[in-house]
Amino acid sequence: MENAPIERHITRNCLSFLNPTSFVNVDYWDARLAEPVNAVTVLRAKLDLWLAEQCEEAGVTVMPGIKVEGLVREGNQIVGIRAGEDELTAKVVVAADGINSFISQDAGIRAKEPMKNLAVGVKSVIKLSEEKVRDRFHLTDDEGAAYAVVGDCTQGVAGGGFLYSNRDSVSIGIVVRLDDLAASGKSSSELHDHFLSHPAIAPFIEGGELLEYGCHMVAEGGKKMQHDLVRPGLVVIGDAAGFTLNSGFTLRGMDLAAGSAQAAAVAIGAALDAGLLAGVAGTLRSGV
Amino acid sequence: MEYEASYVGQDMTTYAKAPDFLENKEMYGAVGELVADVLHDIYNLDLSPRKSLVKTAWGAFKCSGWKLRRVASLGVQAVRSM
Repeated sequence: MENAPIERHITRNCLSFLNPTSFVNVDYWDARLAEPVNAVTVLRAKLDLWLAEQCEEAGVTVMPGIKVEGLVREGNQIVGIRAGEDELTAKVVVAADGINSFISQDAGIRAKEPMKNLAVGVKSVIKLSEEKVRDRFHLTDDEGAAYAVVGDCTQGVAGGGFLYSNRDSVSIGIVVRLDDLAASGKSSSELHDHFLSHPAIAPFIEGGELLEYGCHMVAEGGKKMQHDLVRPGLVVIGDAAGFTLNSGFTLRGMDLAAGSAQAAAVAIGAALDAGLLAGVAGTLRSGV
Repeated sequence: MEYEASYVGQDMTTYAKAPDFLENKEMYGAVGELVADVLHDIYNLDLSPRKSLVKTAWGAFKCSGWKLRRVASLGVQAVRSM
């Protein structure tokens, strides 16, 4: 944590019921949340680069820019991946290929997820300055704030809005469930723009400069999306395994992704040590 | 499985019912409006005589179009799923 590129550590959590011309918030700041720090804001553009560097220092070969197109099998056993005309073999393939997980579909673990179980998030990162971020969110030093908003931020479409304070910028956006979005006839970008221009929200980002604008699909189905996560030679983790949670108070995905990855690593390590990955499919299933 | 023993699996179980609760349309508008209406009647000191907190809340609630049974059922579902 000391070396990771963290933006701010969160000591203020605001749950906001937003209406067109009013809001009711539960605004919770607590100095105890600073010791120990259990919630931080990050910018993935910086964090992912840093994580890749840590992997390489640990002896991992990172091969960016290569698209995995399918799995390589010997009988029932998954023994590697295919990218174009190249094949890479491995004792275990770990599928961390996100919410759509084409690898899980290829492995027959699941078909395309129904829209009810999926949501789309649209986010802007808006640059201000360290001083403006502190002023607008009432923070001192490296403290940070996280807002979870519900109501007019998505104009009645199932979902919510969020604001996270970074060092000198704000990450702000909305998440909406796909089936409800389709039924509403609205677009996700239209809802995003409406949220950012809401009279209670616009002052947070006034005068800022747009640095990033993007979208990301997330799981909304919760535990019922946890299809079997293991096949002979394959383990599915993170978004690919449906590990995201909307508890109403917070949106969680990165901690669950990291936790599922650690669990997979422990299980794979134990199986490797016990020599269980020599190739017997049944043993792998019961071994992990 | 390893993840089931950790916070990952256990939290997924704890919040297993949250997605169903979050399918209630009232969460995305009506709840916020109701709470704001109650607080409006408390804070809008328009020189009309004040009522007790409970009577003020009840007044706002009656004007809101909500049914008491629906509020109660949402409340129970919220508590069970979160």
